Amino acid sequence: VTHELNNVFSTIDQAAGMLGDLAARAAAGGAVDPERLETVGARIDRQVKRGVEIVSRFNRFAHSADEPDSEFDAAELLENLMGLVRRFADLAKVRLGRGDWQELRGAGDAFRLQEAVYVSLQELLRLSSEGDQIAIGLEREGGSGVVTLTGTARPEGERVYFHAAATGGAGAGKERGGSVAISTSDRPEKE
Amino acid sequence: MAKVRVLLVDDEEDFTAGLSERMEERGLDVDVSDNGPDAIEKVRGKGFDAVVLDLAMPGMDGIETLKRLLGENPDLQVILLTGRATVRDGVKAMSAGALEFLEKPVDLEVLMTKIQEAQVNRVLLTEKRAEEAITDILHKKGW
Repeated sequence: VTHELNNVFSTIDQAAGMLGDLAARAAAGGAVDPERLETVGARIDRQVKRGVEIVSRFNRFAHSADEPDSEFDAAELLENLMGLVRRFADLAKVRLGRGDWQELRGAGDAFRLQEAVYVSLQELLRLSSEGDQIAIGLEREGGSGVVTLTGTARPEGERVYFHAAATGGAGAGKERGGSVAISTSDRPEKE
Repeated sequence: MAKVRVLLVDDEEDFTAGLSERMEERGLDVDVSDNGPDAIEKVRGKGFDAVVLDLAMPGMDGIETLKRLLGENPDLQVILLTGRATVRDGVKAMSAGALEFLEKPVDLEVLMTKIQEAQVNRVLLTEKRAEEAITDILHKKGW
């Protein structure tokens, strides 16, 4: 993340330098093309938006550790994580996308769930080659939520189980417990 | 006088656009590439005084690109840029044959100084190679 932010700062730094160059030229009586100013402005705008998105994602990620036993939007959590790790996939020239996807809420330790998904993803990336694909899926299996990570390099994939929050009408509550298991078969024991 | 020729290699399009424009404002002849294989292809066809190369790029990374570039032309003067400088990365870059290892955001004046150094090195190496070639001919012909 810091590397990505550094790229943003570097680009803004060059754009600021360019504005300085153009200002110096204008001060010396030279002509400055307004189109160039617009181009530099657009460049800064793009990078600021990119930086804000990175910081927002990182902020959401950091605050997911605040409450280790809470209910969370699993889909939003995974989307955010995918946004944060996309650069790793880009560097490996691996396409990262969604697999089968079901909106569902989880219960327990959101941070540990992300940690488990991240570890699995890093392993898949390590095994992947240029041009491969990795799909991250999210589904409900009984009382559990399951994140599936499948890729060209490992079609059978990895499965990360977590407690799904109970759904329903009045009286529905979360199923407590923060266990997360990386497995192709095991599910976390319910408390 | 011929312009100093620089190849700028980085996958950050807005960054290369800004930096190359500023370098051109300062009288350099700048070519841009957004990946390692393309950069290797470009150095085959053109004599660059310096290559400014990013460490982290999709596919072939900066260190691998550096090794391949020097494989093509051992006299090439390569300045590595990185957004995440660590001592380990620096050691790796220098032992792979980089002239310099600079951290982003890079001060343009510092980079310009390094590019001038690269150009001087290149001229000296070209003269040395010419001298070696002449000595070799003299020995072979027995004059």
